[in-house]
Amino acid sequence: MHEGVSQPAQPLILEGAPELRIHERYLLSRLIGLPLLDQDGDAVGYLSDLIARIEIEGHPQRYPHVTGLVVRPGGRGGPPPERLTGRQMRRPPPGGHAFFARWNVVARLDESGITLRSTRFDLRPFRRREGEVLLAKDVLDKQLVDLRGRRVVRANDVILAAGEPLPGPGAMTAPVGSPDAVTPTIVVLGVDVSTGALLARLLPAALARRIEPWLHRRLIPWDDIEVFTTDAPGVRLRLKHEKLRRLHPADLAALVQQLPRSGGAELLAALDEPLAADTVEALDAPAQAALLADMPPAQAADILEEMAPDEAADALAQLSPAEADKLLGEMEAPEAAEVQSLLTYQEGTAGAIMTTEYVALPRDLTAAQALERLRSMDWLPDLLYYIYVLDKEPDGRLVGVLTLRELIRAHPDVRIEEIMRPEPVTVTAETPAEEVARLIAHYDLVALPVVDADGRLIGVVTVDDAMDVILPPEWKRRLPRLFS
Amino acid sequence: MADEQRGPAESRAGPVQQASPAGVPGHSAAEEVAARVPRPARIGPKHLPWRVAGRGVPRLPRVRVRDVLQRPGWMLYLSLLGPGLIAANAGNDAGGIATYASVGASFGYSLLWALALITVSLIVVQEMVARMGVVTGKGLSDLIRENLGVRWTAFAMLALFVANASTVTSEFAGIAAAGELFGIPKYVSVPLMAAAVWWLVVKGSYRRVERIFLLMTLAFFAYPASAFLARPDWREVVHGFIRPQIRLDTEYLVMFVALVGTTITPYMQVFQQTSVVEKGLRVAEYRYVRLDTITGSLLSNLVAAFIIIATAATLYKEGVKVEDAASAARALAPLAGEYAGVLFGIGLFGASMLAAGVLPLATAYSISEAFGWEHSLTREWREAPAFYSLFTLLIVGGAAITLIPGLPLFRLLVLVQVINGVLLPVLLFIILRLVNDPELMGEHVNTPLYNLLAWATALFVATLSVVMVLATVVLPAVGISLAS
Repeated sequence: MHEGVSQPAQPLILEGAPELRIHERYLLSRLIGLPLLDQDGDAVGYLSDLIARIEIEGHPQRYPHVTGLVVRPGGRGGPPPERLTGRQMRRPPPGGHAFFARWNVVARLDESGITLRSTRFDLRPFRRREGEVLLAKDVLDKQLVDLRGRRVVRANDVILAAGEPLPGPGAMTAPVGSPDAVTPTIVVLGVDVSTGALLARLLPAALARRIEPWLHRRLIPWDDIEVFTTDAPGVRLRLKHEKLRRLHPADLAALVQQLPRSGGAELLAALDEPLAADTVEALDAPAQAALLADMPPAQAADILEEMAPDEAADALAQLSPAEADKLLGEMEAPEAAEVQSLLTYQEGTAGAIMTTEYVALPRDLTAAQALERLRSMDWLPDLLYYIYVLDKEPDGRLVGVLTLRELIRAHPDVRIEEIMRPEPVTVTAETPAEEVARLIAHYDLVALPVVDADGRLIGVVTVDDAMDVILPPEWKRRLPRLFS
Repeated sequence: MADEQRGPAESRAGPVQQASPAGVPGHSAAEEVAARVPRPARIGPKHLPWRVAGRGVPRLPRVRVRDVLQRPGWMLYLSLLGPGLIAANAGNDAGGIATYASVGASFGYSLLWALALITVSLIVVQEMVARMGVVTGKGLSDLIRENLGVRWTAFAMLALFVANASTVTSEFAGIAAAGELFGIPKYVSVPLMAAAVWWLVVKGSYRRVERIFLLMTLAFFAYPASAFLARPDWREVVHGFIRPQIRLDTEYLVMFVALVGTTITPYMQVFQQTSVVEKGLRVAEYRYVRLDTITGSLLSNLVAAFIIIATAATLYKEGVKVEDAASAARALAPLAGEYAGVLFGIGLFGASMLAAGVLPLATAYSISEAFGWEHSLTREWREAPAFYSLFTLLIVGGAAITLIPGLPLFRLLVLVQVINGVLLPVLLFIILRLVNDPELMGEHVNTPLYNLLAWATALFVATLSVVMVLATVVLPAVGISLAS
């Protein structure tokens, strides 16, 4: 009965769907355009899209339910077919705008069309509800994120299934669109990203059916898929994208760069601030600037506050002064001041590449006291290798440096000034960046302190930022931008 | 002891100065704020476990303004000039030079008016794609796939593939023609250069040698000088610009289509939009993009006009038809004398190598993007087989066609532009459909006046192509021939 529309159960291997008993499989591309039939078998319109609820209260659904359909009244583009005129068209006006119907109006689904229980429609224009996507408009042919493969893929088809939930852990608890038991429950299984799926859509339907057994369809389960925005300016799918949190910031950054701009912005907006900040840090500076400028200023400021100050300063330096000032104004005062102080240094100097994230302790502490201080700090830098020693606190001058390893191995009662290395190599904020990089390489340092005119510590240049200065240019282009 | 500390730092970093450089106005207040902030003890919720790990992962390359400024001079020049100029100048490749030279030699100044009109069309077309890139943040093939469905995508990509494969062939023909000027047979130069281009691009070192080819193309700046030195009748030149004349002989029509095809080549639109997207340009920066597009188109077509004038003032006056590179080179004789051939050969080789590297890559990239195939040089062959196969096919196929014995190389260069001209309307109609989609472009759809210009261009090119095909293929086949 479902031949042509549905898929034979064999070729599709569905991993990890034990909670589902599947009766039929459907390809979205073949459902779109099917006529909608009333009780007498007369067409009242054509299916133009399916609505699926992919999140419920912010929680991603493993098998999202199809909750509604979008109907295009009349024929394909042209005047409505003969039989659409007259009695049947009383309610949906021919040639009118597409309208929306709940899934529970569907009585049966087969090759000849979708039979409706009633032709009484709600003609109010469709508005997306939270967590809903239009499968044809938002998913089919669009770029999606494959979370398991950590890459951007294109949906060549969407695979749906008519099925029923089996009892068990993780079983579908979502309210089904219809209280009526007769309406078939349709869920989204996943997307097909194979070239075979593309080929099947290119060919005439009859031929496509014939080659189906030879096609190597590749299903990515919906659980591993994230969908991003539609093209329409201003339309944002209001999705929480909870599943993105499984990924590492470096992978997220690579995805942000692969996605179109709107998708990248939506991805970042879905992350909580620390994760978003780490993701932005892993991007290159022009991409950082473009993303920050596109975001609502408050959100951009929150992310900037979370970023390492040197990274935040680099990103802001790429923006126009007006945009940078606006974002700085939105940031919390201490963070803004810190970033702004870094922004005052000229390009190519130690000041421009240094960070203000370091740990400095007064010289008269014992090793035990120093460790206790470290332990009780609310926050420590990501990279804690050196502990800088000051002659007094606060605002002391830099008198020495010791490594964390030395501190841990030291006798608890020994004072840190006894184990520190005095007279550390320092630079000033104006020292050329190349000179800083050379010193770091020469002395084999992990970080180099930067001091002001009075010898007070104002920042450190870490080895990774120094390497950026001297790395051969072609190294940086290992991820080439193709055209620019 | 603290005072002694500063000794080595000073000696290494030079005289210690005020922490922030003078000459950065407007930040002194911020510095004061910054100075009051207690530095080491920064507080923030930054103790998520992977933050520590995240710091150690290799970052994506970061490109800063400083890096751009440190690139060699021509790169700076290109970075400042932007995508519009580069895309438009790509029209002046081997095929472009050959076509302009042939037009000048065969028809004197009488097609200059067409070049002027085509310049307007070029600006209109390139501006539309740049606008689409800025507004949607997506490449052209991406937009086609997401909005026009698989069948239109397949059609558009087929057209693009045929056009670009022909153009790649013409680049190898250019390499062969340049080689022959120096007495190197094409059976040596073409396979050698094809292998070199493939290897350089795949191994990622193409960017390093690109500048050499770019420098070589500066040889074509000899044309304006040559045009003046040849002492053309400037009154005739002006007449050529302002007095349109249409002739219905086949050669004239073919050259007209070639002129259109080489000036508004399909790949230039793809190139322009992708490069606008990759640069992350936004709507706020749009007026710069438009300015860049207009100046780029004007400048590149000014060079084209000078090529026509130079050849018209020399070869046309002498009644020499351009049959090969040697005769085309004679237009440079007023400037370079006996070295005209060398100069022309260098320029032709550089221009061909430039496009031969970028074009196959850009084509493989666009098509893979549209069909959802993995596309990046950072992937291995087995990860992105379709992308690499397409790229290799374009180079090997293009080179192989050039090697057919007895092929008139220079004629081939012009014929390829005819193919481009015939396929251009396909892409133009698609662009017009996309750029006028309010769901995609919002308020940035074409204005009515703009649409008038754009549709006029598309219809004119389409009509011209049809008339040309009629006159050259259909009519002779049924035994009618137009005066030639």
